[in-house]
Amino acid sequence: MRHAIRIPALLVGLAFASAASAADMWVHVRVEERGGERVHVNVPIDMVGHILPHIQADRLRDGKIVLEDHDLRGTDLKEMWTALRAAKDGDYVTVRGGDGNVRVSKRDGMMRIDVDDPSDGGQQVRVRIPLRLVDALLAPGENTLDVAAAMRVLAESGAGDLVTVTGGDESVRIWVDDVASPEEGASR
Amino acid sequence: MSPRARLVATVAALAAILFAGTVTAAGVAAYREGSIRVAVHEADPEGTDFSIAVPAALVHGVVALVPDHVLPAVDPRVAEVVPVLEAICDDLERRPDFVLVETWDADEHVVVAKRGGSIVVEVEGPDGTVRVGFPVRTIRSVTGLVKAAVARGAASV
Repeated sequence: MRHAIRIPALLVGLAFASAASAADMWVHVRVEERGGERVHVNVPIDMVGHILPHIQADRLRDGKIVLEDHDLRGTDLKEMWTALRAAKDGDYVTVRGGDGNVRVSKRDGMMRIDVDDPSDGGQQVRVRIPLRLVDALLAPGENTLDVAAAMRVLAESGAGDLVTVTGGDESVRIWVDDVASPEEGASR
Repeated sequence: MSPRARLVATVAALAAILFAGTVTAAGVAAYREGSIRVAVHEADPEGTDFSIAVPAALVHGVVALVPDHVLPAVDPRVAEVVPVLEAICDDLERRPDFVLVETWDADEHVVVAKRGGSIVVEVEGPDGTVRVGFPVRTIRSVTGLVKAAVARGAASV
């Protein structure tokens, strides 16, 4: 489960870092194995906000990811989100089993994903995504994901944890705050 | 003092002022532009141990003097990278120091950071230490060179 968590966590962190315009807000990623490898990444959101519009790759253009035919169609995704957005706060998916518990819910302006996996050292995964961020990401219009807009919203949302993974052999934390390098010098 | 001696003294004084001014200006430029630094220290007592610091102003001067016609023709698609690099430089130049990436494993400690106007990469391991630093302005200079090479590539198509 380690890699299953680490890779999406890093991707989420980098994706969140990949565009925004509010000055002096940072996305931090920390991945730490118990007694092993540690990775710390600090990305100024503002910097990525400046860079993103200049990247004109195949599927990333002007700060937007173009969804291709074989992807889930953007319109479908947007319709699903609109329906979810309009629904009342509450638990939407609850899975209880021997392998662990999963709960997907909407509460206090956040999409929340909670995973408790007793089989992997009691690992707990907590994901908190502001609804406004998804609104911006799935802005109406073309078949695209507006990453730049989503990141602007993320930066405006202020400090807070986005992803935390604790309890297993590996811990992951992705969060936003206004501190450049939280532990600089502490490790030397 | 004879008129001739006075003339010689005046010319000597002017030459001294010009020399001192040039040296001072070069020193200020070198200080402002920073240095490209490479340091390698092997843990083995008989291993490599060297440190070199080249004034970035020298590199910028050389880059500025390279005539466009000697540049290789670069694929115009490389042009897509140029604005990205320029945007990175714009941001880094105005941003205070920070650590971008830092990793540790059982053997190595790696840091990529912005420190004092330079991008610094440090790798510390059991075999030794490598430190490389280059001013952000140097990236901008080289980007300008790439831009010119791209323009030449586009012209030759």
